Amino acid sequence: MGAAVTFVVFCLFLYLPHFLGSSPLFAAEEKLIVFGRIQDDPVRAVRDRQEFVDYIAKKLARQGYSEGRILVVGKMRPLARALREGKVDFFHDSVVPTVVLSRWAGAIPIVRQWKYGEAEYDSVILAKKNSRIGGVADLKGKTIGFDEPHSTSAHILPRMLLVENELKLAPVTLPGRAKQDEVGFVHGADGNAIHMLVTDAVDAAATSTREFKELRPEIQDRLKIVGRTRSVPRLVISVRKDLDPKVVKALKEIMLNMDKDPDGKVALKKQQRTTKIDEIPPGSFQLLRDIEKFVFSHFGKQLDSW
Amino acid sequence: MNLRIKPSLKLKIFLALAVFDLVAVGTLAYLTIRSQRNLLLDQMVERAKASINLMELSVTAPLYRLDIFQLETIAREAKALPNVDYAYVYDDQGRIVGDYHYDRRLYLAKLPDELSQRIVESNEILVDVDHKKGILHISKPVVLGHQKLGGIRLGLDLNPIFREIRVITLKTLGISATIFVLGLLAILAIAERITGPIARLTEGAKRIEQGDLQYRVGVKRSDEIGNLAAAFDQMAERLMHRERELRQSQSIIRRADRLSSLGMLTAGLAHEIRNPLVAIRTFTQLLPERYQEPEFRNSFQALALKEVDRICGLINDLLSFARPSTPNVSEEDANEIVDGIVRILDTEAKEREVAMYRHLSLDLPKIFIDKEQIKQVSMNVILNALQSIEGRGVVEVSTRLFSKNGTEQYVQIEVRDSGAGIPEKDIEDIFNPFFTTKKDGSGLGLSISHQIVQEHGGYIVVESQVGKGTTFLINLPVRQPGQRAAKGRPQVDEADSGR
Repeated sequence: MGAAVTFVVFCLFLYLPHFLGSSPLFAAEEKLIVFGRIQDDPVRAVRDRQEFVDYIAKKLARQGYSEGRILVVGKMRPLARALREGKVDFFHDSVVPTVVLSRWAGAIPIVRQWKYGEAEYDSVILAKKNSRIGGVADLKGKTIGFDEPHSTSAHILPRMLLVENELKLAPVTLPGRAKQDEVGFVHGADGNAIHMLVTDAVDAAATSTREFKELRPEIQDRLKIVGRTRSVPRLVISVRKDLDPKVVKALKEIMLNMDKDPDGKVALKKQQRTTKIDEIPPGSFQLLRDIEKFVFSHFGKQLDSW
Repeated sequence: MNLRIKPSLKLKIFLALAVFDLVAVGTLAYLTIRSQRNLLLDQMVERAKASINLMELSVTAPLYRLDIFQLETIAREAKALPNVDYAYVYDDQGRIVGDYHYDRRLYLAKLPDELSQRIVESNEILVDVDHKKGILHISKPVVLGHQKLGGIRLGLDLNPIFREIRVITLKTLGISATIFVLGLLAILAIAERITGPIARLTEGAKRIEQGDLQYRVGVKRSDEIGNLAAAFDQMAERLMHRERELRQSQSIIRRADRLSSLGMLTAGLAHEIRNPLVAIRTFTQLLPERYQEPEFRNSFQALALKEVDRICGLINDLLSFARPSTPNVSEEDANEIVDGIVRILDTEAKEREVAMYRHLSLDLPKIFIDKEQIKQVSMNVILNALQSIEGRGVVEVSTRLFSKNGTEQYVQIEVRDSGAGIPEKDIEDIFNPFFTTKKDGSGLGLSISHQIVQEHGGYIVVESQVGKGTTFLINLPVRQPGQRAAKGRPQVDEADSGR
């Protein structure tokens, strides 16, 4: 009799976790870790990042996360709202959106993400080799072509360089010319600034160093670098301000160690050939603050449409 | 009325192979049509899958953003694709958010139905063929990452495919029908090739059974039927050879029979010849003494001539009977034959103290017979009659004309004796070769007689009562040469004996 009771109690003990787990009262809440992304093409955005987010979610299982989702939005404002509402837990982007969303939604940059094998990148201002432009100071009275206004590498950083060199910029309409004491500028689409320069529509063009290096040699040979911006992190990963610090810590730890884990390496590589995620260099925080100051002082209301 | 049909072997082979042909061609046609149909449908399904996958690529982003204007455009463009009957895009609740003709304001108002829910909830492409309406429904959930965005559904018009299937079916049936008909012709040729030689073999068997041993099948083939035909021809050849040998044997036996009959007559004949010779000898002895008497000389001359003529006639008859005869059918008088035999046997009858009477009909027609063979028959039967009488007795030989069944006419030779009669148990055997009740008999006489009469298309009837006597009725048909004689066993005590 005593042995039978012991056996029943033993069985109950064995199945207790199961019963408790299946009960609504004791069932652990299944949480989603949501990654935010600003991109026009949601399909590409999800396809390129789902494995990365799945990896993170899997590693965050101890913190109660069961699945990773990606929220794709077209502009910064919706992402800021999602961050404030807790609908997005973390996101990555270049330095300009990072600083904007930091101010709008209190997002906190936690790590730097490499891209195309590079931790940082800079931009260059190009002019034709046969032009008299030798440096950014020579751009007075000339016209420079930028890409889209929200482009960090082909607009914000080069424009910041020009402003730091005390040049006054004014928009012009092609084929109009800039005033002698100003640098006229026009916006093109993605990669269009170089085209405008090559076709003599503008006197100078801004682009990232990487894109300049990828130009066909015969194009490159006709161009020269007349200015170079400061280097900035390729991408910065930020978390929403009210994310559980334990989760933030775990998240940061997972991401910093991804390149040491084979599965993590694969997940990173799928995301625009990212090879590594590391700490943000201390010097970059000051740079981020400079960029934030520049962006909000120069673009203000325009930011709503980015 | 018995309408039972006995199908020929050719018909049976033809029908069996025709059924096989029908089944084979039918099965082939069915499988061809089915495989073509499945192939076309599979191709259609593959195209539909490609289309829906393509549509998924373009619909995912606007569906993610719930851009119903773009979804409508995509649905319209999808509808413009070849064979697309309709195109729907569902949101994650299964509501139509894009189709090609609906009022945009109704999109979100339209409630989800069971099918749209099923499409959104499924994890795979759903394919459903509506054969009645001729539409292929294909649907697929749209998933981005781990998020189900909704679903898409295309309806493809299968009627062009069905039309193509109908054309293929008609063509296949046409070709199959042609193959079937060609098959039937081939089967007919095969059936003819198989049964033709068999028909010739059958004809050969009939012809040989009718006595035409010259007939040959003449099928030159290297298969079993060819072997059978060759064996048949070989058999016919041997049969002809045996027939020739048999005829030779029969000829020998018949001659032996005649000589046997003559042997039995030897004593009587010797007496018949000796008596005139004695008379001539007596006259010859008296001739020197009475040569001068004219009356004696005249009597001697008359007697000698008469007796010599008599002996010569007798010898001629005997020679005629004993001579080996060759088959020779000619128009003959039965009375003359019977008369000649009775004359030969007259002495034998006298020796046996048997009275022999002739009742010969005067209006007998001539008949086509082998004279020598019928003589042999008459000799055998009359001699048997004489020999069957112990002591004194009577043998009556009659001839007459009678009609059998009112149509066939026969000349009947009746030989009636007052002898011991034949026991009933022996009557069946008397025409069998070597059956005899005589001590020195060969048992061939009646057998040969029966055979000869049968070869002439006639028959012999025997009536006998033990102690009272026996009657033999030899019936020879009156007909033209070339008319076939009936064959059969001799008839004994037959009702229609013609008496």
